[in-house]
Amino acid sequence: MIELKNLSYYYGKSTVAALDNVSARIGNGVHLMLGENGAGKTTMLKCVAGLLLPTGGECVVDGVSVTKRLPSELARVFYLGVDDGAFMRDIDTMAKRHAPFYSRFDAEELKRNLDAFGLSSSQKLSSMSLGMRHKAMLAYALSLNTEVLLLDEPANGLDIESKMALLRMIAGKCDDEHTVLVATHTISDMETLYDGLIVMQANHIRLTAMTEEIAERFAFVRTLSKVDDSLYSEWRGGKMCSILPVDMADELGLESGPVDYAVLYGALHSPAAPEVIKYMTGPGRSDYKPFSNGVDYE
Amino acid sequence: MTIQQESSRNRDRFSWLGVWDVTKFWWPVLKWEFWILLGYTLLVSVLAISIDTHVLALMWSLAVSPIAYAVMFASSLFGLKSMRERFITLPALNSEKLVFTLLWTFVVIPCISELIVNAVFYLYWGQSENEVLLRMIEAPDGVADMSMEHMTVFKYWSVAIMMCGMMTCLYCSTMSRSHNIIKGIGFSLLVYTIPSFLLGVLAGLVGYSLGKKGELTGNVNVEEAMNRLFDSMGIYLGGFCVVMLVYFVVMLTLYIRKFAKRQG
Amino acid sequence: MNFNDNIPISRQLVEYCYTQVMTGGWPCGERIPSTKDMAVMLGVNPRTVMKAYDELAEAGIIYQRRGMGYYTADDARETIIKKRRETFVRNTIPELRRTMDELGYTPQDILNLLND
Repeated sequence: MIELKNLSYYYGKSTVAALDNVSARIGNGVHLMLGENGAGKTTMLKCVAGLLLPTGGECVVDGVSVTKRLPSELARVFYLGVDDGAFMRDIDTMAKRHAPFYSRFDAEELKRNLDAFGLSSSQKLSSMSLGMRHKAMLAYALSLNTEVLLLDEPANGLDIESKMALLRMIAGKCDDEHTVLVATHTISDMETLYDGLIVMQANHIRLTAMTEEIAERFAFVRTLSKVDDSLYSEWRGGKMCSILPVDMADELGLESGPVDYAVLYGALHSPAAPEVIKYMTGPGRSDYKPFSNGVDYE
Repeated sequence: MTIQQESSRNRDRFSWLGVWDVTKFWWPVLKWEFWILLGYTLLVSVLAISIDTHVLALMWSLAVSPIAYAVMFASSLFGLKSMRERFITLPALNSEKLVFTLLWTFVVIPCISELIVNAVFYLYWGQSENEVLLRMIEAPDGVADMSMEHMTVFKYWSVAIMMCGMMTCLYCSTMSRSHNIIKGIGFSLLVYTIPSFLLGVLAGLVGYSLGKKGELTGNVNVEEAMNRLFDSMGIYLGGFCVVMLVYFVVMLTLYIRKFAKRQG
Repeated sequence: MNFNDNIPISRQLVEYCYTQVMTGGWPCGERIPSTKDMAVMLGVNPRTVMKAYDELAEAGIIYQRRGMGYYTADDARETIIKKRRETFVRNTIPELRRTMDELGYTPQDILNLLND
């Protein structure tokens, strides 16, 4: 469980907050963290990782504050950045010199991951292409089996096959023992995976919600023409994608597809946002139950 | 299901094993400077004992200056971006990491150079480096008759500016958030050269004032003049050393206090 | 497996399972992949697989043996055929009727077309 309590971060002497009083509670599972560039995703991930120490507020992972940088806590979190290149010559060296610090490291899993990506553990990382190096680092990161895994744009630059392989690897981490945060500004082909969603905007958290809760409240329909009374709709991939309250969708006899994060993201950045959020939080269903994650909205 | 820790020791308490683990983490990067420094020092020392003493006197300072710089800039490798970030989040105690950086910079690296040179010289000539150099310089057509005392003072001075340079490099490469290596090397170079430069200017001024006072008129005995200069400078040298000592202590304290709080 | 954007994933998974049973990929009475294995294989959240399995269990297509995993029921195929027949009668037949009326076909016409 990751808890952010009024977390703020200012880079250097900047007066602009990279993270502005952010609060959230993130439980187990795989979470999608959406936000445009500069919204604060990377900063937030780095704070959770202990790489950056908050300017204000605190970040607590499994009851331990990250600022102490205690080994027992650091061993439970791993962060893989966007341009995180190799920090050692090859994966073998990393497995030998770095992995021992992480008690749950699984050498077998590392081998499987590398095989899935078609990579060798002894190959010099600096001689690999950017994509290959990224895959090697992903394979390594996943094999460390840390309770918290923070991935910044993991599917960046991956071909479809590799994305699928990555998808399968992360699917194996969807359990009570792991929390995976996937930060991205483009929805990649991993939509089938997420348990929860965090939307960041202008250095705030706009919304945190579990996929189930979203699915309980909203129907995501794709039609050929606009649906009246939809909360939000946009033209995407040749179809009209709309968000409707579930009740309304039932009334209209429209069937909901899986939660469409891209459309939801669009909705949250449109004038319809307040209403969408209101619907998320207000009692709109007879079996309303409060969120398991905190919601921060304007 | 709890998974057994690899070793049952409590990683949240300081242990030398922890420091050793940190060393192993850094070794793939640091081994380069370790072996190169060791190799070069050994080479130079061995060559020294095999060539003519006259030539040695001339060549020695030239040959060892790379060593001096290598020792001073050794901690710049801690500024390597990717390693630095992984180091911050490495599951080891801040104290263990701190101890490691200090030991490496101030014990391991200087020892390689100092011990090897002195060991080689001692084995061959039965004298320390300073003694050997003094012997060289005191060759019949030597310029000045420096005493062992002067050499020792000079050695202290060198050590002092070296330490300040090393500390500056360590601080800048570890604490900076960008361009760590450049800042580490750059600032330490400044700290290293400025005192020498000032001292040189000061020596010039003192020499000039001595000359003006007429103490060096008439038969100028170069040897005696040099000695007079050295003696006058002694006080200033002492003052500089104190300033540098204070600088070192301040930087070291800052380093220790800010280490745990450094930003990635 | 490529996922459709229009239908909930758990439903698509249920259909996938139906297909497996019907084609013999999952022989009746034998063990099927665990929720986790399925999740990893298809790249979906185990929770979604769980949902699909729950639905299948409720329909009597699979059952869970304590500590041993999920198994296809012996009469899984029959159950699926029964379900699909129900869907056929409930959806496809009325649709056909409507089309027949629209195009002016009589049941005899349809019979003739089928026999060709």
